Amino acid sequence: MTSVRALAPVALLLLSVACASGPPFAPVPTTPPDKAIVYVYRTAQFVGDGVTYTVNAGGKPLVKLLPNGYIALLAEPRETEFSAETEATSSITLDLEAGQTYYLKGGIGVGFLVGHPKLTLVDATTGSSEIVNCKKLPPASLGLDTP
Amino acid sequence: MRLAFSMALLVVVLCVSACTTVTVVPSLLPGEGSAPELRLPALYKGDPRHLPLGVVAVSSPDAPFEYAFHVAYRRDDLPALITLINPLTLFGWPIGSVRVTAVATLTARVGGAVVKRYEATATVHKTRTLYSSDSLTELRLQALAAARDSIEAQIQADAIYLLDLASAAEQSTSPAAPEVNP
Repeated sequence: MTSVRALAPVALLLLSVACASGPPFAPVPTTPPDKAIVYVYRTAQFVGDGVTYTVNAGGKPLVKLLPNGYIALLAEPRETEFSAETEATSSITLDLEAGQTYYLKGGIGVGFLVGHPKLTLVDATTGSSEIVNCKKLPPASLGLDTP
Repeated sequence: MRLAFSMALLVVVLCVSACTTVTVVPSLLPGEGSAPELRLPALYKGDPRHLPLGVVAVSSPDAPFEYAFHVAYRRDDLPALITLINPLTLFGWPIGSVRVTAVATLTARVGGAVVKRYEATATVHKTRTLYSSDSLTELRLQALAAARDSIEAQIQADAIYLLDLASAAEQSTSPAAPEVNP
């Protein structure tokens, strides 16, 4: 019993490290007519939250995606690949259109040594309802338009 | 005997898992023989790799043809608990699948009215294992290539009709030749 009590703070610390802790979700107020908005977010799961990964957009690091975290990207309207990697790679290419909003959900699947990243395009209804509990994450590199 | 059966089963599982299947509707083969060379001017803003050979991308909205495609993704995963307790997972048993569907269309217009529409739907399905990556980008390229080739086969079959359409559109949009006084 004593050892369980001793381990509790460690477990709490690990949980807090693995979760996003930025400002709460706020939608991009205005959409530039010549850009597309891509929300990349990740909800908390029971399994796999300790695994984090960086999501790349068009070959550039976009965000280190933590559970309950999100980032908004104002992107050029063109074919853009989003990818993430742990022991396996996950990638998805979106045909971004100006004035449109996209929700890309990150997750974790079963892996051999480490969980595999999963990037899934979800519809606006699902995305807008799931992202409200997420916290804003800092961008992983400069040069990307992340309002 | 039992060991041989187990090994055979494993080989079958490994062969079946992580396989990719491509289906195209309509599934047409490129026509044989000497079809006239097509260079149909089509409104298209995307990557030229996805265009059929007989189509040339133009940016003018008055182009007599328009090429477009739409891609949809679907992912199906087995519940993580089932995957974790299944010992065959370690030997390559499928843990889920992804499906990418590309629908490509080539629309012909005369005077703003649609006179012909070619459509191709390509679906790429891949089962996933513990050891496979999850590149929907790669599957999307395969689906778009299959849809593109189907459209190419369809327009080659209608080559003479489409050439007439293209030349008629070109004549209607080109400025009138100036009159020359004798």
